[in-house]
Amino acid sequence: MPDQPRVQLRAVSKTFASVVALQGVDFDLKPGQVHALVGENGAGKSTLMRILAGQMSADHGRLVFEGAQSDLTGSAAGFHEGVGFVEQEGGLIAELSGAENLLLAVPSGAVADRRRAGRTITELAERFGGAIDPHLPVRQLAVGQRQRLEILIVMARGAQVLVLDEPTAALGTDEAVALGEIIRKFAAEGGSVVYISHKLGEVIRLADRITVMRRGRVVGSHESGTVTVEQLATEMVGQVVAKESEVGQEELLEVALGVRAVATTGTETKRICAVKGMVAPAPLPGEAALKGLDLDVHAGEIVGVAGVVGSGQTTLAEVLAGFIRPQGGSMVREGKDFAAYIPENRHRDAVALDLSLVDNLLLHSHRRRTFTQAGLWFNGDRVREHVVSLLDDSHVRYGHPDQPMRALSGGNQQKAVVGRELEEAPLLVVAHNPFRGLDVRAISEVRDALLQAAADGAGVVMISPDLDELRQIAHRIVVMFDGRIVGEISPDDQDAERLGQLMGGVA
Amino acid sequence: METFEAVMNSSVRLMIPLLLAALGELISERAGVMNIGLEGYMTAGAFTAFAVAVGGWGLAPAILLAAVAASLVAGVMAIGAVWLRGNAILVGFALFVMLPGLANFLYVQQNNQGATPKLHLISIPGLDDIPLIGRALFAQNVFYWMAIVLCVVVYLLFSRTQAGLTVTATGHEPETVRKRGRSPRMVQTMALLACGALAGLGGASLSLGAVGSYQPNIVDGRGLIVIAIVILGRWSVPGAVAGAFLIALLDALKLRVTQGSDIPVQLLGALPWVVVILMLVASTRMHSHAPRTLTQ
Amino acid sequence: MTLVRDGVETPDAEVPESVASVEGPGFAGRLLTLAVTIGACILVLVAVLEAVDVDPVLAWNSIWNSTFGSTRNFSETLVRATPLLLVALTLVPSLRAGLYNIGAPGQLAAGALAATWLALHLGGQPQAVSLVVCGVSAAATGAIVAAIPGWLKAQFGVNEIITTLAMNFIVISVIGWLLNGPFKGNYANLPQSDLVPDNSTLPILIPGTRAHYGILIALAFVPLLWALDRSVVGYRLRVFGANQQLTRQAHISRRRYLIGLMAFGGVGAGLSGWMQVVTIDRQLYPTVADPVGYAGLFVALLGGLTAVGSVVAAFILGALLHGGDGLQVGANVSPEIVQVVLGLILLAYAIHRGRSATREISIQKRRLPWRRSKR
Repeated sequence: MPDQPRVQLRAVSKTFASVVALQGVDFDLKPGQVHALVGENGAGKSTLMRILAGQMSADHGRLVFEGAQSDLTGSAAGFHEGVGFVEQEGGLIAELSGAENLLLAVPSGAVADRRRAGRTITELAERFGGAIDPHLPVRQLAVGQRQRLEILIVMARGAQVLVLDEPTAALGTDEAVALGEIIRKFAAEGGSVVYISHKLGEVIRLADRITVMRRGRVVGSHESGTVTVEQLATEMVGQVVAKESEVGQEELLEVALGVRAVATTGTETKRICAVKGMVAPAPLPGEAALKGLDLDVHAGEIVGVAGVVGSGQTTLAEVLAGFIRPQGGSMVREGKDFAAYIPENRHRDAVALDLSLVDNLLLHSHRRRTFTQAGLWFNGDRVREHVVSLLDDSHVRYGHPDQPMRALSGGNQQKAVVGRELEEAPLLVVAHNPFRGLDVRAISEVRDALLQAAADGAGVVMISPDLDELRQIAHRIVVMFDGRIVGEISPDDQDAERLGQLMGGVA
Repeated sequence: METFEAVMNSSVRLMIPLLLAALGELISERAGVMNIGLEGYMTAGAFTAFAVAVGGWGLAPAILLAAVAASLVAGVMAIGAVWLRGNAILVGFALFVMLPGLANFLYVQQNNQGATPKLHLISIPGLDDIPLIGRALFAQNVFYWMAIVLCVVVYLLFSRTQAGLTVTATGHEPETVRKRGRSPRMVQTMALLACGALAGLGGASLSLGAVGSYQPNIVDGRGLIVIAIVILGRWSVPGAVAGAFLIALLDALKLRVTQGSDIPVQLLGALPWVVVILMLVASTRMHSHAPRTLTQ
Repeated sequence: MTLVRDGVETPDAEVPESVASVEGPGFAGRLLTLAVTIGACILVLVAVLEAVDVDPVLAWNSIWNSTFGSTRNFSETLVRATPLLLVALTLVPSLRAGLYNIGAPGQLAAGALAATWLALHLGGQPQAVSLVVCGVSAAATGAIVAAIPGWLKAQFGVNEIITTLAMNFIVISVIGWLLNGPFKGNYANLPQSDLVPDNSTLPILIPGTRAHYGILIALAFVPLLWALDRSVVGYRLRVFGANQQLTRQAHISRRRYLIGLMAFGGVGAGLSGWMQVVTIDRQLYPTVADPVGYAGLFVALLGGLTAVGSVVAAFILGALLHGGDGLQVGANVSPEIVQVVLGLILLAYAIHRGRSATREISIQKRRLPWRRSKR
């Protein structure tokens, strides 16, 4: 019965604290099918798939898997053998080798035979394409290799369902193509694939069926040929109640569709920052050091920095922010020696979750003379007034300025960070993956803040692995590879081949 | 040459308690639990072994019960830090303070100050005649041979078995272990119990082997030294052996040096601790096998 | 993705109110926990005492008599509480930042050493000079001994718990050597220094007892901590404690604050050492730190990392420690049992509150200058 669904999820509901994540969701998956699940962040895609994979229990709902019924609620739910969930963050343990990760996923008795596990990986890699050393620690592999390894491990487990969460977010073009091939081969052998993404163009190319989710519900499901990108975007964003936001329906749709928000400028303005031959050590394992990087930033422009994750983007951001002392090269800049910095990892680098909004937003301005008496004690009233107006200006939705940062949603946290960083009219702004994890509305608000900063004369460096994001708001895009800038493209340039070569270091 | 032989011999003897406890701490740290309370486990082992042996129950039960008693203490750590999610550092510190206090209290209160039966040397005929190192390596008490066997067992545990791999994985990423359908808490509990048993043996080797009795504060900070040994040994068995031997060698030399010169013995008491600090500084340069949950 | 840390995706539109009202237990709730904790500890203790055939009632009576039985006993409680309070109050800022300075015994002994040495050389000076010089030097010495682990952590990332504990053994060894050699007193063949001259002792607070003005010095740290919360430095410490990565963005020197916090934690211990030798024992001996031990840290933790809480906890533990001495006399119970009590209390506390919770509550509960309403 090839047309019978392999997976049937029925009436799945889930609530976190007071937030409804899923509300009566039905979902079908057939053998040999590539089924895309689209929707903005927070729509409930990942939650649904975690429940399918048995990582989380549902409040209501049941699952029919290959004809076998099971309850998804309470302790009845458990780790599901047949489903392999490849998450965005990566489910492999970076310190262990591929073979060891395989052994953890597919135990083979009391003895852990690393050599045999390594052979299994090599064989699978030959079958589906791409070579991986199974005995290297995972952290020494490139991002694309890691992802492929994780998919191979899922296959080695004998799972019939492969779930991929935003798999191309961190990949270069070549690697994305290779990934597409593996997915096709897996489906051709009868496997089923769920492909979570918000990149609508990609989804239409790759998927057989597309299901759209919004706010915990399924709002549409289509065969791939029967639907346009515009239709999908409208379903994803939904109807906006005018009062709810200052951002209009049209703008949200533009963001969802990736319409360009700026014109390409050709005019040279004042140079804000000139980096020449920069050499600097990487701040994290798995990130590249800078090996002679050149970059100019001018007033009023947004420079997009593209490239495969791990090409030295974090190093560049932290050098510009003044956190890493360069080992060589030069950096000449206007004004102060540091930049407004919106880090990629918000919880680790940008906010203190346990501290109040006031404490978090005072990070730079606590030095202002007007807020303190003799620079020693705070003037409570002025500080409070300032923070409240800053929060309001940044469109942060909050209950009380004394509540801890933890109580805010990700989008509001990010808006607070952006507001704080941009408040003192900086000359240089560094935004590393600023839209990561945000929904369309928050993206459009953060985007507007960055555009405004550029319009006010700042030079903005926006780093993102997502080329579509950069195309929306960057005036020009430079491509990074292994600690260097290897080329520059115009945002209008659709030459995918050249871009892929640049990102892969073939320049 | 005679001096060398004597120093080797006493180094190996002094190494035994450190090595046994280090094997235990190695397992628990690999599982992602830092045990400040190791001192407490060792004390529990030392006192139990002493009490049972002096009570006339025989040496084998003394050793066995030492391991059991220390495991029970480790069980308190498991309940407090793993199951009830208490602060692991403070729970460990509480045990660090409480158990030496409890053992000293019971010792003083019971007023039972006999000596334990002497342990026989077990030697391998032929090999113990090797000049210089023969007696040190092949004629030692039962704890030495236990330590040798346990070193091999723990080494194989981590290099060859699924259980060892799961323990390592738990130390790096408990969440991934959970997603694979196994309970990280259970893994950590088992690792702690094993750690307790090994540390208990280490304690017993102090009271039964090295001292031949109990004395207040018998462990005297060795639990802390062991933690440093494990860190410097990069969470590996050969590293633990090397670290334990290094500290023991310093101890042995200390005894020698003070006999033959006027360097004050009190000042040399600080030496192992200075070495421990230097070891920790040196170990920050190498993070290869460090369990991720402990380095964050 | 947004809140991967919690494993939960939160729709942007809704702020989960239940999360917003994260608050520690109220005063009544904390009192209740305290009561339960004490009850559990007493049960374990009674079991231990029964095991060695000691009548718990007799033991309790001798604790009670030796604690509150008379003015003299009350003042002895004050004497025991003073160093605990000093150590606790200076440890509070670093504990709030998640730094565990377990080196109080070593810092105390180092302070005592400095104070003894100076007091012996300042015999002819006015009392005020001797007091100030000895006190300040002892505080500075304690701070330096505590700053070394701080520097090691800032420079090499070495775990401060192990290094502060190691420093205890090092300082005690050095003092042991000094007292057997250059520092040995003339009176007896024991590892003790000479008696310090009269001009170096702190005045007595309650006539006829040993209770001295040191308790006032300790209490002076209470308003200091109160002021810290409202100050710019206090704000930076809060940021440092909540997320050290943020110090880069705020252009605060992580290194300076780390070493500073650790050093401040040694000030109280150094001062305690000074008071112990110049006022209580009048001479230095190797086990000078034993009466205090780690109890100062316990006081800070049990006091919920607040100044007022520490004062209350210091008096309770001070009474307990003094009562432990009374046990030996009154019920023939060896005083090691007090270590068991301290361990039990800490165990109960540690299980009750995880690391993050400790910090969160200590942050939430403090009244900051811009805080308006009770939430």
